[in-house]
Amino acid sequence: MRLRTILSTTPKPVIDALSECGINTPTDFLFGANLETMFQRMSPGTASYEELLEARQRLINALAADVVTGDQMLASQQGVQASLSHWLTGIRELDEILESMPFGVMELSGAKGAGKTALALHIAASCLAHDSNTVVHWIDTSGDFSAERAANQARIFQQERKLVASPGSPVALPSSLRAVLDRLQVSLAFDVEAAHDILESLRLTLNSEERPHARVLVIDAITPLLGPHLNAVSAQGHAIMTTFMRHLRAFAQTYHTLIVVTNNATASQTSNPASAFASTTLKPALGPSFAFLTDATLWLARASDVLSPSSNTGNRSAHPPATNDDENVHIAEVFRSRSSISRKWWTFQIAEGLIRIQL
Amino acid sequence: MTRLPALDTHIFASLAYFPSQSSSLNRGDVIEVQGPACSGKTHFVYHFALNCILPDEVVFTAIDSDDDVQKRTRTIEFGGWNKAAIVMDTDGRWDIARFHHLLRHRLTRVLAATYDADDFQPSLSDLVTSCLQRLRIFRPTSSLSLAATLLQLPTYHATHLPDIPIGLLLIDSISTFYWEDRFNGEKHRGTTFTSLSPLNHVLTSLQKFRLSHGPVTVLTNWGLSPVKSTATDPPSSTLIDTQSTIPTPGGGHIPFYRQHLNPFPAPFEHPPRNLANLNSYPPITHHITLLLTLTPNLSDLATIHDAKEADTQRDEIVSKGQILGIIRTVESGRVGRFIFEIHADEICSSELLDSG
Repeated sequence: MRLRTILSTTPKPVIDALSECGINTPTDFLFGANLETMFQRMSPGTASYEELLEARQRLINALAADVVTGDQMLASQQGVQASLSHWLTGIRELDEILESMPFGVMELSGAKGAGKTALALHIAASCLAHDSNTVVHWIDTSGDFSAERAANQARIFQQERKLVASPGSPVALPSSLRAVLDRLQVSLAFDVEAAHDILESLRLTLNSEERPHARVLVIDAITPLLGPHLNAVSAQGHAIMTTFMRHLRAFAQTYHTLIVVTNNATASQTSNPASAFASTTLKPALGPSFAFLTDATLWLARASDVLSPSSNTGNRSAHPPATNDDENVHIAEVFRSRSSISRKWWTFQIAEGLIRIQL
Repeated sequence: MTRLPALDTHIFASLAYFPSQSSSLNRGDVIEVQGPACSGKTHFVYHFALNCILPDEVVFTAIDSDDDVQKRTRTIEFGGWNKAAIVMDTDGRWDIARFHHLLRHRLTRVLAATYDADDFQPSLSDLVTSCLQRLRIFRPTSSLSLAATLLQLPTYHATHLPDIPIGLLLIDSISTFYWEDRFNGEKHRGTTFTSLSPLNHVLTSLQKFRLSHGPVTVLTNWGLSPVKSTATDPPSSTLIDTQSTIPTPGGGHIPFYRQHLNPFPAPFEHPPRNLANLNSYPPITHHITLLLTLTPNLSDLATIHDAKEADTQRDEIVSKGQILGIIRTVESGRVGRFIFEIHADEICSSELLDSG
């Protein structure tokens, strides 16, 4: 960024005098030569020392971050929490995590068929069923999104809610399934630039305050957007990744959105120490830095892959489930969570690609 | 004091000079806290921030119900530093609700034995508010912004906190802009890289503030690349024993992570780094590595039912929220291990495992 842009109210002769000395960027001005040396280099009469001092202070003020006191931050946060809609997915352990993390970036990682998309659909369906004023945005990065599957998951969730509603609380069903699905908005993004554009478009829409609140945003999957850029030669791919994830996190905090990103798996050299199970020899893709860019990582796996120690590639056909009881069972492990206890695990059921709260 | 007795014991044994025997931390100390994702780094710095903003002692005044308004006073010690804490929340993840919960619980715990909230002033809410007002959170969005914010701190202090010394400066985390800065460095590859590096500007600005205002500085840092074992492992490898609960990120014997940031002080690297501006950077006083304690793996399981039964012991360890800390003090070379636990209401210290 050029000095002229940031110091738009500084007299032009001062900016010109700095430019003649080769000082054109904020870094040049703040961290180059000291002010006395800069002043000595300038042609006499072009700028006074006081003007330089004032310009430097103005630059620091422009670049410095905003500040908030702890009590101000708390009051603001408490206001947000009071107005935020909370919903139940019907999976107790997941509901506890969402209660501790009502907005932020949650990663669902695992091998193919582990249940990532299914769980993301379930979260979306449960959110849509809870509040008729909310919208769920789904960014499909592979073209695999199935409207039929989403409709079936929403239908099953509504049917099962009649079974799992809290005693004494009313079960308010939406008027129709179509009304629910109309609030599931799907976009396609095959590269990170397209995803950035979708986010920017969403920002504009939400800032207009004419549309319902975006409570959940799903990116399924994030690996194809960020993975192709990563390499060991240049830091560019990682810079793209951290910048994108920072934008996601800022989006989540600004609009109080739960952002669910699904991430593929990659081979681990040894048994993954983050997993409770010795048979887990996979790890989340996108490298070790990605773990610092999300608020929670849930690792999903089929019970059959975990219970059969030699079945570590996710190849279901080669290794049948240990028992019929465990056939539909999947395991979710909290690899890491900033807001709840890590390293817990629980089971959930998937049948015909759909989450079942009760089978 | 850090108020983690195990940690204070190590520090007192590791440094030659303390202005006061009631404080293990000196003005200007720099503590780097490194570890993998979700290894307790942010909760660890919450603990430091709580200590900083808590009052040392408070005089509570009671008003009797009698008409002559006879007042009783009581002094209660909280053991805090009674200073301002500056937080550079580069990650944007400072959880004020969680911090408030920990603060409120700490105050309540001290007051519970001797205090009747209805009869005394200030009230618990007043105390919480006055503590939180000593906490100032900045959210820079780049290394340049972070450096500029550090340059502005003296002016901010004089204007907004003229009567309260800044006891603590936290940067959580110093690694947030690592990849962007590294990519920028690739674009400026050459002899001037170090001086042009945004991280260089952050460190020089940090050192200026450290010298002028003398806060204790705590930096959280990512643990990305484990240190690999070699044939000439330093004595720290003796921290690992066959029954150890210390995880080893690299799969070998060394529980530490490489310093991926550059330019950045790396006092434990062999061979030592040749940094052109090292004298302009804040020197690391203590380096702390945080790791989740090991738990037994579940293996040879026939059914989920078997897994749940086998998980009982593991779940007990997991539920404690135990974090292992390994502290290395640069001046003396002493290495110590300590454990703390993150509970729902508080951060608890455990024992010092060893120090030497």
